[in-house]
Amino acid sequence: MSWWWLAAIVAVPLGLDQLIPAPVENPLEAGRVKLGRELFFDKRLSRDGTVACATCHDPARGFSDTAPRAVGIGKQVGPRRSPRIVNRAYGKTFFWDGRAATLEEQVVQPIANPLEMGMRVEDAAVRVGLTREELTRALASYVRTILAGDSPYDRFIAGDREALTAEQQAGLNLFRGKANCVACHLGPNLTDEEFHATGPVGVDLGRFEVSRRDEDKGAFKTPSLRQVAETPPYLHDGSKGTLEEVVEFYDQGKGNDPEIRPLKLTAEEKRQLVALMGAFTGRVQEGLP
Amino acid sequence: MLALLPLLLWTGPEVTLLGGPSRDGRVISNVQAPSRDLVLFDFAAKTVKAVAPSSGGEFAYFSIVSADGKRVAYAWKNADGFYELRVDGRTVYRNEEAGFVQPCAWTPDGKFVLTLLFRKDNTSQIAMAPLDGGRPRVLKSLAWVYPKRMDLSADGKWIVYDSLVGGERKLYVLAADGSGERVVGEGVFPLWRGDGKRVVYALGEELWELTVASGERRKLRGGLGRFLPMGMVAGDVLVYGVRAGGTEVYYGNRQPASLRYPGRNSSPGWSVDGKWLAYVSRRGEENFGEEARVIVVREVASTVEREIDPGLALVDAPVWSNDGKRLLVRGADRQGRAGVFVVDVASGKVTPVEREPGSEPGRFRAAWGEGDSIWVQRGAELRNGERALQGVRSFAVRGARLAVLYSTGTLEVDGEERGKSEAKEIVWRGEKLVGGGAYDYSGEREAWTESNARNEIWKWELPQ
Repeated sequence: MSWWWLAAIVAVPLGLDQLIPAPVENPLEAGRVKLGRELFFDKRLSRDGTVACATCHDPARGFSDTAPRAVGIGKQVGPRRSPRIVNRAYGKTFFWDGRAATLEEQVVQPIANPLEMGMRVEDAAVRVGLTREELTRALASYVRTILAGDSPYDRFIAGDREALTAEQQAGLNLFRGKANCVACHLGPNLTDEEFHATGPVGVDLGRFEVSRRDEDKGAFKTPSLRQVAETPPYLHDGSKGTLEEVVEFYDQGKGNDPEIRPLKLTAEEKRQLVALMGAFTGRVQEGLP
Repeated sequence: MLALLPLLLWTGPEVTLLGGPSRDGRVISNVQAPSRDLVLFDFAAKTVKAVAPSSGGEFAYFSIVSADGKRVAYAWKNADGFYELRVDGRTVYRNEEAGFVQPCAWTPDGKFVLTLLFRKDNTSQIAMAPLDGGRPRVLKSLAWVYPKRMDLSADGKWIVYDSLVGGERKLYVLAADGSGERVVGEGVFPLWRGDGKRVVYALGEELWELTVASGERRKLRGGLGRFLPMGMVAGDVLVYGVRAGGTEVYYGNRQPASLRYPGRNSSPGWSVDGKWLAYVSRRGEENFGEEARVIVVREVASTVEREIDPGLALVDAPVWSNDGKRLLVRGADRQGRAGVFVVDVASGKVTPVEREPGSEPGRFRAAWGEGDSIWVQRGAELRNGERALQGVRSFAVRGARLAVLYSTGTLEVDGEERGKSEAKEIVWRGEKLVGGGAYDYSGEREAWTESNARNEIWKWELPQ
């Protein structure tokens, strides 16, 4: 398939690509982004008028929330943690299981999900005076502008050797070396956008629900680590309350993925890794100027 | 009007394919072999002018010449072990985090160089590097894979590059301001033609042309051998390099190991019983990297061969296990992690023994010890389980016997010092140790690699 990706010229934060991919059918346009921003906070998109996109993707919390698993209309609890949705413009698949191939596919699914907002997308669009297509394009456009970068990590990568503390630099060496986090968390967005069964083994079959391939049982998409320190709890099921718990979990090497093995990290090395993850917190911007 | 035939411009033992011509077609930059000196070669005068001589372990690598032929931008491997971007001897970008840089094209105003940055986490980035010392502007990042070639259209508005997607090299056109991108075809080493509307590129041994707007393709020429486009010059003339000759594995009474893929073979290894020979053979397009290699396993008595594609980005130096069922290789996986891997001969399944992100495969050597134990040399450290030796240059294992050549030149066999050696690598030949490299001995026969590689630089006026 061949098509043009078109994007507006946005002053992207340090560390991110200048090219912000957007489909030719929905190029970034200021009016559409502004409308999408209003819709993102509009609770009328949920059946009982209690839940907006921003309810679970709170800008004050790195566009995530504090609940271990997403809470929708009627206080219903979903099966998975609300993901941070920063830098999703650069995503290749969407949701923990990658069931949406584009942001346009993704943004309307929570509206239709009975556990989340519980409305037919067409009905939600009518409520706010739009067509389904207008609603979809506006929401996707706004989400494309939610960018996080210019963190101490980005400044270090750009050549500022003072940007990370000695402890964080030691953590970065572990991240790339002994702990091998970089096997999955790489690139400007600190994710390979692939699926791995590295987390706790439970009843949620993850990517398998989409692909039906046995090797995908319990596999979930690698989350970006941007803003990770400010968005507990962690993992797809929100089962780890702190970064220390996450590091401890991976140190034990209990996941099903062949990349996972016991790391034998010392207590100091675990502290260094946690310190590094604090350096992934940077500036979050949204919307167009 | 008849199309002109390609014309050989330059060849010789000193010529490499690292460099590119000026737009006016007068000169070409080149890193010379084996000196690694960066020079400019004047096609008309047949003279060589020094640009950046190698010095104290520092040397130039990729280079490009400005449109007027007066300035050269080049990657410089510095004493700290990483590459920096230099122009006319002045450093314009130095950042250990982008340990490898590859300048690809000058902007028309001469203020920026389109540059590929390769980060320590195996991410390559397409960037515009300003020559005033400012921070490069990253247009796009690519995980694990890197373009073999990028080029900027004559008006400076469009970048064409290739990238590996789903096992195929796709061609992309990217707006130089980062505002858009499009997949336009498949191939490698793309270059813009002078009209800015068509791209020429390599597909195997063939040169093709693509009209970007319409997607129309046509083959311009075949039978070019192991070639790579190096640059377009005035008059729509393509300058390209050819790797003539090659490397071949021989064994016994100088019998070539392969007749099907001559000139693409290296690194022989005998099975313990001397009945099987494994070697590495190159496939696919010519490239600067070492990818697209397979392992060939030959039964010597029948000469029947079988190919094993381990699916690694790089594979080298196969060593048979004692039971003849597995091969130990060094290489790198498709995420760029170098290390040591075990390849099951029957199934081709690959199991990593040791991997190191952002490392060089050349840092590793490996050999089977007794039983299933494995000796792994990583840099100057040689390890087998809990046993570790430091300061090692090379080693050789034969059953329970261990020979170690230390970086001081001291040779030690089974823990006893046996004098000094100048060899870089060592191999057991019966009871004796000999200088190694791409050589192996079965107990009856030798096997070795010979190289007669020669590079040529040609030009061809493209048909309209």
